[in-house]
Amino acid sequence: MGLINWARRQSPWLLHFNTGGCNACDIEVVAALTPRFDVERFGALLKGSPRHADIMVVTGAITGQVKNRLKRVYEQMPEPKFVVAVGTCCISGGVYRGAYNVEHGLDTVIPVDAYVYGCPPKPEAIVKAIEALQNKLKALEAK
Amino acid sequence: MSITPLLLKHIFKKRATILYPFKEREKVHLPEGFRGELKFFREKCIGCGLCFRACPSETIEMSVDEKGKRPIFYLDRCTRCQQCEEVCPTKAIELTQNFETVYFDRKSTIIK
Amino acid sequence: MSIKIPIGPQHPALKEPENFTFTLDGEYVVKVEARIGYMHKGIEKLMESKNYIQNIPLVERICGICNVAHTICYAQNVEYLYEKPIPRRAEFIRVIIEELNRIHSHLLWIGIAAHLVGFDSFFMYTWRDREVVMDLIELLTGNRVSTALMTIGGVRRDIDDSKAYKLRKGLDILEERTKYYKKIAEDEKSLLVRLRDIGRLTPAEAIKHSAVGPTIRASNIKVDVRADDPYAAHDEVPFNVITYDTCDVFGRLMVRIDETLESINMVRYCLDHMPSGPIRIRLPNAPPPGESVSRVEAPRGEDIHYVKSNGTDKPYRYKVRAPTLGNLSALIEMLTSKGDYLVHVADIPVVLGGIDPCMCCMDRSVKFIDPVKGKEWSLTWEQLKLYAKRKWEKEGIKAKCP
Repeated sequence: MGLINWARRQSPWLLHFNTGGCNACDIEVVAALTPRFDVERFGALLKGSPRHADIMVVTGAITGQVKNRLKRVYEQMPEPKFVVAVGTCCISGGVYRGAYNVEHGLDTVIPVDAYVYGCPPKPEAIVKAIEALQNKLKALEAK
Repeated sequence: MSITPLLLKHIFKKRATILYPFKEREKVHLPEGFRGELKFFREKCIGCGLCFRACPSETIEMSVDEKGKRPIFYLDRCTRCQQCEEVCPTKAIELTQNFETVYFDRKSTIIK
Repeated sequence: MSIKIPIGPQHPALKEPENFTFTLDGEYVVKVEARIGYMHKGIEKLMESKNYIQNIPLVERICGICNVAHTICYAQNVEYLYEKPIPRRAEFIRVIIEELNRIHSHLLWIGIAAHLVGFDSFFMYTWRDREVVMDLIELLTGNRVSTALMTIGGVRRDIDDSKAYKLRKGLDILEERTKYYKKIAEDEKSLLVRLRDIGRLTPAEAIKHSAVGPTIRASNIKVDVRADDPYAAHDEVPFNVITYDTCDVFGRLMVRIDETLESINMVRYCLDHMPSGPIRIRLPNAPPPGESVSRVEAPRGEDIHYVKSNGTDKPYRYKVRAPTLGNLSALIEMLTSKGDYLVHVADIPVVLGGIDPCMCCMDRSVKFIDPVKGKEWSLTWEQLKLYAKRKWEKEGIKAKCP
């Protein structure tokens, strides 16, 4: 069992879903895959289908039309799965708080495991979030 | 001419990756004037309320304690635009160089 | 027999949520239906409840990639209401940041277009060189993407000699790399086969569907707001308007590479001829009542804003028309097969990416949909006023306006 958990921890495959923000956190997530910051040294790959993914990286403020589709994509991912919220608009609504079509945070829709603050956060912060999630899982398994 | 000469030349060059976070932390590009996480000095604040009128995203709320009026900061709504630091007359708000803001819960980022 | 394929909100080829339904006949696309509205947030209504200073970061986040164009348009709009000119040094600094933003946006697009075709090496090389521009923007403004540099009455930070020296060194590196990419784009066989004669838009069709930006400049029509209607310091800084006559995605790629080289020369001219003086003036909180319109050339096309003020410190009405809205009906025209012009299914991602879509700027709500009953309908302006009046009268509030 320890071998399977080690294998799952050392190769987290990512799925990226943009839920309707301003696209700035989006290009910082794609920039984390380019040679200078290179999140692929942790074993992460960007995949296209939710059935292949372990971690879902969500960016953007949640609008009314996207909410049901987000829940459907989350339910299609197989267990064990984790969610990382990138950017201030995803965590609490950000600058758009008070608008009629925006939810006040991602944890009103699906459960969240890690929050990355910033508007937009540097790609180094996104790399650190993947590493912090790996350390947290290692500590949980050692208990 | 195609891209093959460029690919062959790059076999002998050194790598472009910065090995953050294990080694090479000093190579991260952090210029002077970088806008990172917010820090508040309570003893310099006079309670004028100018920062509340300049903040775009409901980060600041005014409340009253035993020393007078003061702001409460909800850092999970801050966009780091630096407008509060610009209008403060006593320099009680400062944006530091901290960019590693990864947290596992939202309650730990409320400054009172 | 025809098959319908939806390319929906979550798809590896799209970076933003939007929905297209393609009707196929064998391998060729016959009809396209677009459904937008996934990114509609209600920004224009939110702007009426915040004052003019609080609205600056909100306007910056209409779009994250072309944020400098939206902020310059907003600041100019409100400054026209005051009818006071801003210092000349501030206008030169605005042009420097705007052209640096254009360079970063075009290098981003070249990488994404190569990635959609399958040429991942080119994608990695272009984005590695884009880091040079991002470091320069971070040095001047404090953040890589959201530059909070404009304010009403000027700019907030200045450029001193050490920053200007680093700027010049970075521009030399960029110019040498961009000229090398231009040589590759003209000769590399794998790019030419995938991009030549794809997404054809003739000049007559381009004018009829009101395309803007590099999409129309690749069909041999000279349209550019910086030359037709100069704003900021563009009446003094010289440049050429680039056009190509191939009318396909390859022409749009070459237009963007040449515009990057023009922008590098414009930044160098501004650094050499920068006047001295203050960088901002102080203006009162509430502008006088009136209306104003301003236009700006964003990296994707022409961007128009309208403001109406009634003397208080909050705007009465603000309207934004983003450049991708003009390109949307031209996109639907490019994706349908007619006569001897056939569109294969494998060409859909490149044509979609070829107009450089920025759906987040564009989403303004248009239609009402009831998913339970399966009905869709839209209302005119008069019907909307009558509906609102009846609803509030039921709750006991009388309407004040007719």
